[in-house]
Amino acid sequence: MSGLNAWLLQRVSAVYLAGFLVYFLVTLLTCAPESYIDWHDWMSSIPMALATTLFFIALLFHAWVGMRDVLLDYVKPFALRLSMLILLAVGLVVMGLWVVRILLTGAP
Amino acid sequence: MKNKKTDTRPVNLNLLKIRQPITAIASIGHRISGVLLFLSIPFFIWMLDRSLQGPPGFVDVTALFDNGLIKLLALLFAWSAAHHFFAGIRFLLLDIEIGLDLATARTSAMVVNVLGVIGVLIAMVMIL
Repeated sequence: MSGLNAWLLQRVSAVYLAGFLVYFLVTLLTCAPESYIDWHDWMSSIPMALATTLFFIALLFHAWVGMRDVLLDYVKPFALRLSMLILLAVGLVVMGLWVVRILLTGAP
Repeated sequence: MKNKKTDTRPVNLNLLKIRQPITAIASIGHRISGVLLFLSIPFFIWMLDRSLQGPPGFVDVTALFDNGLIKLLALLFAWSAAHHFFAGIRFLLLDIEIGLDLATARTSAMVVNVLGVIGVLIAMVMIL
């Protein structure tokens, strides 16, 4: 993903990330789940599970565009740049699968 | 093409000596905080995983913050998150051509830099 698509994705994901984080932080500050049961019930409620899944999807795409920009700016040797981009992509996919496993199989 | 041998103009690329404009500091801060936030993602996914595995896991995660090193990392994270959040909003506003003139851009950069520090101070009060 590059050019205008990446630019737009970066901004759209940014808006969602910011909104989710404000909601999450305000909830933690005003009525923090004190026990495992409260925390688990909150995170496994359908709206929150969906919102959290979407949060991580947005986060990983946001991280891809941002880290890709950083690598393209500072890592000039082609082989090193390509290796780091591949490593980044693999890392993000692994993190995504990990989150999916947590939210789909761990939470209910 | 200029002959390199005759080019005797002084070159000063010592980043510690160059005084960056405040907008540049907000910008590089956004980039540095972004990389730090990226590096923090696996730790947060691990905390999410552990905290949802059962009551002992939940207690493990809440007890993490008793550790001094974790507190220090949490402060670094607090700066990164606060600066990235506010600098990001500033960039989004610049994208839609709000605050483009130099005076406003300087002021908003100053505000963003200060808000990042305030984020750390609030985190300090909360966890220390």
